[in-house]
Amino acid sequence: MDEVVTRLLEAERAARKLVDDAYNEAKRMEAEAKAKADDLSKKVYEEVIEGARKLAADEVKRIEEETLEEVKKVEEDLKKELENLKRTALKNFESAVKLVLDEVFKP
Amino acid sequence: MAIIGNLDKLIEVIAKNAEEEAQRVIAKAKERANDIIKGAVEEAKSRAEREASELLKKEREGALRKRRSEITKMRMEAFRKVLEHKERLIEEVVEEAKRRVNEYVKTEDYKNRLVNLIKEAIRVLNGGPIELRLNRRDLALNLDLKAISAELGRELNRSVELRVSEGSFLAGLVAKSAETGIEVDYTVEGILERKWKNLRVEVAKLLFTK
Repeated sequence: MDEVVTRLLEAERAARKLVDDAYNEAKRMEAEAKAKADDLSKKVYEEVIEGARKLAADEVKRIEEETLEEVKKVEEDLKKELENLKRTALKNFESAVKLVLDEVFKP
Repeated sequence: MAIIGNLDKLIEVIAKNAEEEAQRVIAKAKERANDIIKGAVEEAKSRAEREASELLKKEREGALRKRRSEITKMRMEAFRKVLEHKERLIEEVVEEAKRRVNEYVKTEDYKNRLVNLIKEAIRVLNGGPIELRLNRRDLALNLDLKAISAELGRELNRSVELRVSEGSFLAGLVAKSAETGIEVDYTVEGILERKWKNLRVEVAKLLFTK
């Protein structure tokens, strides 16, 4: 009878140890998962933000290039307008001078 | 013998149950570990995407604001340059007019015109004693002021007495009634100054009409 009890107790002890080990292993796995989750989260976060930074830099560069183009166009338009003004003024110069002279001697 | 046989079976059952329990625990732990990783990554990705969107929006808006500001500044600068250019061209007209006045004052036509201006000034001041200022060159023209005084005296039916002195201006005259203190300024500079506000508009209109 003693042998029966002894073997049963041993079997129970072994079973408990197996289950306890499993729980311990589960805890270790959870801790490991949390650490891995932290690492992966940081990596994913950095990847997305880095991608956005690059995208933003490209977008800013594109807008700056467009700005330069537009500034160039304003400068070209200005140049043309000044040339046109000069040409028109040259054409009408005599009439304008005559207008001033006429008014100057008309009290 | 039967007891031993049943005991073995019982021990086997205990071991099997424990094994199954342990496997359940491990399986559940694996599932939980996957959920932890998946949840954390999804959360990080979602947070990063929100921040990325904000970052992109902020950078884009900043660049667009800078672009608007630069373009506006450029357009205002261009507008200012056009105005300056127009002003210079108008100034050239005035300078040329002054240059021609200097030529014109040497002509007989100017002499006649000056006489007419003197007469007009006497009419405006209604005769009487008048201080007449001419520039040095016009004083040297030796205008017949007596004849002018006599003519206007008859016209106005009252005496006209011209007292001449020297003034410093391009051409024309300044006349002042000694009785009333009223002064008329028919100098080129005075006329230009009085008329310039309206005349400038007319000159600009004429000068820049295609």
